[in-house]
This record gives sequence, structure tokens and C-alpha cells, in this order.
Amino acid sequence: MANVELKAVRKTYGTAPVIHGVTVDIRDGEFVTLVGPSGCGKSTLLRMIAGLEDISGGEIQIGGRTVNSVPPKERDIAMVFQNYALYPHMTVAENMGFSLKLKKAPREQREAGVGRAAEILSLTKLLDRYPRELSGGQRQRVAMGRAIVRNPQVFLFDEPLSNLDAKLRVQMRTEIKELHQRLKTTTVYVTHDQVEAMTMADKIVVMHDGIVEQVGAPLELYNHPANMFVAGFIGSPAMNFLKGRCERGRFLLEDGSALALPASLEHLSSDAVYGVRPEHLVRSDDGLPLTVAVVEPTGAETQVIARHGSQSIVCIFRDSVLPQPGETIRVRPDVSRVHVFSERDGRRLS
Amino acid sequence: MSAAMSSGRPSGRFPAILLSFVFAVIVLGPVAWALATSFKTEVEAVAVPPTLWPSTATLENYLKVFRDQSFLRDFWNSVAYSVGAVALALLVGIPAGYAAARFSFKGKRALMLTILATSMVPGVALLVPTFYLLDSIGLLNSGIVVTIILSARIIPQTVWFIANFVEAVPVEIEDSAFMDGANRFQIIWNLILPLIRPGIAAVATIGIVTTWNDYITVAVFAPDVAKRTLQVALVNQVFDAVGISWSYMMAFVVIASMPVILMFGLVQKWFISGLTAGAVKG
Ligand SMILES: Nc1ncnc2c1ncn2[C@@H]1O[C@H](COP(=O)(O)OP(=O)(O)O)[C@@H](O)[C@H]1O
Ligand SMILES: [Mg+2]
Repeated sequence: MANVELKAVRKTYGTAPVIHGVTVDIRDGEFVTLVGPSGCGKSTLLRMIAGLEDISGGEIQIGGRTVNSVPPKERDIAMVFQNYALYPHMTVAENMGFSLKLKKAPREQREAGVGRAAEILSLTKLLDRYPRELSGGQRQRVAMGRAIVRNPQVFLFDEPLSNLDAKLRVQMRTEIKELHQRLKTTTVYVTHDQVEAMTMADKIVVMHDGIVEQVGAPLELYNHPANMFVAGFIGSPAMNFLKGRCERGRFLLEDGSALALPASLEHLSSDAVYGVRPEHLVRSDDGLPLTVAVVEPTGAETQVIARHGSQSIVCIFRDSVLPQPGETIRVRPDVSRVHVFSERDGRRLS
Repeated sequence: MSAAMSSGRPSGRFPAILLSFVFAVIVLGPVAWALATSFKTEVEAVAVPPTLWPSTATLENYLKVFRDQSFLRDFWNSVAYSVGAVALALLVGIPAGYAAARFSFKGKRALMLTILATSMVPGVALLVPTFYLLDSIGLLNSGIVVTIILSARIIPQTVWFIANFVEAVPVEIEDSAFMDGANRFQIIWNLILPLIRPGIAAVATIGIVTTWNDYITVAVFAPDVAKRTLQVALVNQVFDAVGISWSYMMAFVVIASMPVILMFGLVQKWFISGLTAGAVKG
């Protein structure tokens, strides 16, 4: 097992910069998710750790060793790909044993390694099947099995669950998490799904346009997003952003309505963006008036999409009294959970 | 296509069936004629009016072909040239096609188009210059040279085919193998070759057919009787003999075509899936 350190890592394709200096420290045994919108450079970064892409600048260390010019097979890393990338002409056992075969491991050792991995992943009965004879979830397990057999220092996953249906995805999420708790291998897991990132990670790295926006534990990102991007990306449904001005301890919306500010911002006086999560809006008779547009009950809670002037605001209520579309409701932010961001660069002010 | 055809009403399918039938008659007619004639006696073969079905079927023509001193030598030359040419084309075409599919380098497109363009130059146009070139350096009548020239004719298509087949293999499979510790050679050997086997069978078959049926290259560059192929021997009979024995010649034609037909039969399954690609979908 090993820690992974990225130091000011950069990647340029031709003249197009894709990764602009990423610094992340992944501790031994940690489960880290790289999350961000599609195209932000997650796969590229992961492939650089794997050794499948050259590193244009900066340094990558695995277990204290700089690996910039170390080929993939000497990095002692295993990777699971989104489309599984199984060898179609090999059985499950041959797929999982391929790395050992390349290492010229004796037959008994290969069989033992494959058998152990198959057992961990409940693949024992499928060892003689070909990938085309497996379901999506089984293929994904074989891909993981292939990684486990190698007993690597680091596991890399690139959106491994994206091709699965919703139910299987949740199930496999748990399986991967359990696997990590059992093997305790350092894991870097790429996803564009913030729920996946939140539920699985010890530590989340939020990426956007080739830079790291914030690194932190899931709840840290949820409670203290460093900027508007992270605030909007983490949490579902997304945080509400309201434009306005901080003045004399209050936040004034464009139409003049006022919202409470955290005490720490009492003396701030500038244009700003007020951020509040849907679940942190509570109904209150002296609150901001909203016109209900859509009501979406899910059972445990109800999502209400409402308008204040031209501004759309999403609220989540847990009480069972449903508002009606067209009705006016009044809500008040829980001031202890309010975030205020700079109007200029989106940085957190509170 | 079969779905489209079978889904139509019977009356709607009729023109398609008729067209296929006409087409089959045009293509297979001469083949059937040759086959029938090869079993006729020499006299019946030239009888007027011609008979379709041999009245007294005889194997005499075939026996004569096999008894011919030069037949085995011609046959061996044919096999050696075409198998050699295809082997050489694959030896060059697999690495080249792989590189074209997997590496990006400056001028790749231009290079690939140039390769394709060379296959469009009519072979006849190169005949005279090549002949003088070979003659001046004393390389006429060389089996190896003929093999190389035949190979050069099929290399462009081989490279292009292989490149397309390799492109159809998801690159993540290779990435995966890299992570598993394979080097480039092991990837090609253990993954790419087995996965594009249908494609290789298809290009090899096309190559065998092209080179086996070649007449002009061998006739011009290896005029020596000892170096000729079945095709050359066949044509020579037309000129050599005092009178042509059509029944003998048709037996010869049937035998000369047999290896190619057999090859098609053997690789048919791969050939079809190779041409329709998609051979590697996991
Ligand atoms: N081989 C490549 N050549 C040029 N640009 C690439 C290449 N691979 C990826 N990119 C670009 O790099 C950016 C990041 O891609 P990627 O790492 O795949 O994003 P993600 O995995 O976060 O969706 C994208 O804008 C993509 O177009
Ligand atoms: Mg990606």
C-alpha cells in the first residue's frame, strides 16, 4: 500500500492545456474521489497517475517514489475502466489471471490468486464464462477482480458504475466501499456523480476546468464549500444562489427584501451572492414570500420549486402539509447554514 | 438486409428474387459450363450443337492434368508465390496497420492516402519500367522477386484493412493490458491478433485470390517455364498447342480454381464477420 502525491501536475495536449497544476495529497489506505463535471480532466489526471498519459509538468509520487517516467506496469497500480475493458476472447479466469501470466507466475499461484479474487467478488461460478456471457454488473466485478488479483499498491477507478442501471449502481457502490474496507488499498475513484463521491469517499477532490476547486471530507465540502462552484456542485438538489448586497448586517435582494446574515459578516458592505441549500430553508410567517410553481413529493420529503420575482428557489420540506402550486409560502434561511460568496470571484466570504 | 427482404410481402420480394436469380445465372453460368465441359470427351466438348450435360462423363481430363509433368511444379509455384506474398503482406501490414490505428504522428493521413493511392496505379503501367529494371540487374525469373512484387500489390489494402480492424478494438483494452504489465508486443500478440482474426482471415483470403489469379506479373517477370504458375501454364496452352483441348483445359481451370474456393469455404465464417467488423464487441 502507498500514498499518492500530486505536485503541481499539469497536462497539455498539443498546445491545449487540460490540467493546470493540480496538487493533491492522498494518504495510504485512503478512498479519494475525484469529482467534477464531464470534461474537467478527471480521466486525464487518473491516467497520468496510472502512467497511461505523459505528465507535462509537475510531479507524481507513489509510495514516496517519483513515477513521472516509470511505465505503468512498474507503478504497481491497477485500474478499472468505465467500459470494463475486459479481454473479450478470454474467460473470466483468464481475464483475471492475465497479469499473473505475464509475470510468468506458476500455474498454481495463478489459480490461487484468481480463486481468491473470485471468492471476494462472488465470481467463482462464472470463472469459465466469457465476458459476452455476463451481465453488466458481473463484467464490472470481473474488471475489479482483475485489479484485485494484482494486489496493487493503488486502485484507480474511472467512472466504473456509469454503464450500470440505477439500482445496480447503488449496490455496486456499496460493494466497492466494502471491498475497500476489507483490503484497505489506497483508492482513487473518478466520478461525475456527486452523490457517488459523497457516499464513498474519505476525501473528495472537486475539479473544474483542469484545476482543483477544493479538497476535503464529504461533510466539510457540504458545510464549508470554498466557492460557488463547489457549493453548487456538492449537494442535491443544488444550493440556491441569490444575488444582492450585504449592508448593515443584512442581505438585500435586488427587490429590496432582506435576509439575515451570519454574525461574522455583520460589518461587510459589498455586492455578494447569498447561498442557501434547499434543505436549509424553513417555513416562517415573517420569511421571504415565494410563489409555489411545482411540488414534488418523494415521501420522506417534498421538493418545492418556487419563485421570488424572477428568481427560482428550490426548497425541501419534511412536513407532510403540501403547498399547492400558485400558493404563496414564506420561508426563512437557517442563518447558521447560510453561505455568502464574493460577487466578483465566487469565493466564500462567510 | 435479410431482415428487410424477409419482412416484405411475397409479391414485394419477387423483383429482388428475380434479380438475384438473373445475377446468379450470369455469375455461375460460365462456372457450370466449365465444370460440365471438364467431364466431357475431347470430341463432345467441341460438338455442334453443344451439349450441356456430358453424355459420357469421363475423368480422363483430370487424370491427364495430374499426369502432366509440369502440373505439380506449376501448382507448387502458384502456392509458393501467393502464400509467400500474403505472408509477407501480413508481416508488413499488421505492424503498419496497427501503427496507423494506434499512433498519431505527423503526416499520418498523407502517408495513409499515399499507400492507398499506390494501389490505384494500374499494374500494367508499371510493367515495362519494372521489367527493364529487373532485367538490367538480372532479377528476372526470380521466384522471390515475383513474390515480393505480388505482395506489394496487396500490401496497401492489407494495411488499410488491418488499421480499420485494430481501430474497432477499444483502446481501453490495451490500456488495461498495459496496466496488467504487458508490453506493446505482448498486447499485439495476445490481444490484437486474436481479436482481429476474422479481419486477418478476410484480408488473407482477398490476398490469396488476387495473387493466385494473377497472370501478368508472373508471365512478364518470370517467363521461364520452370517459374511459371498454373495461370501462366493455362494461357500458354492456348498458344502452345497445335489444337486446344477444351475439355482438358476446363479440367485444368477447375483444378486451378479449387484452392481458392476451398480457402473461401474454410474461412467463410470469419470472412463475413471480418468484413462486417464489429467482431470485437465485448
Ligand atoms: N487525447 C486527447 N487529445 C486532446 N484532448 C484531449 C485528449 N483527451 C482528453 N482531452 C481533453 O481533455 C479534457 C479533459 O478530458 P477528460 O480527462 O477525459 O475529462 P473527464 O474525464 O473529466 O470527463 C477534455 O476537454 C478533453 O476534450
Ligand atoms: Mg472521463
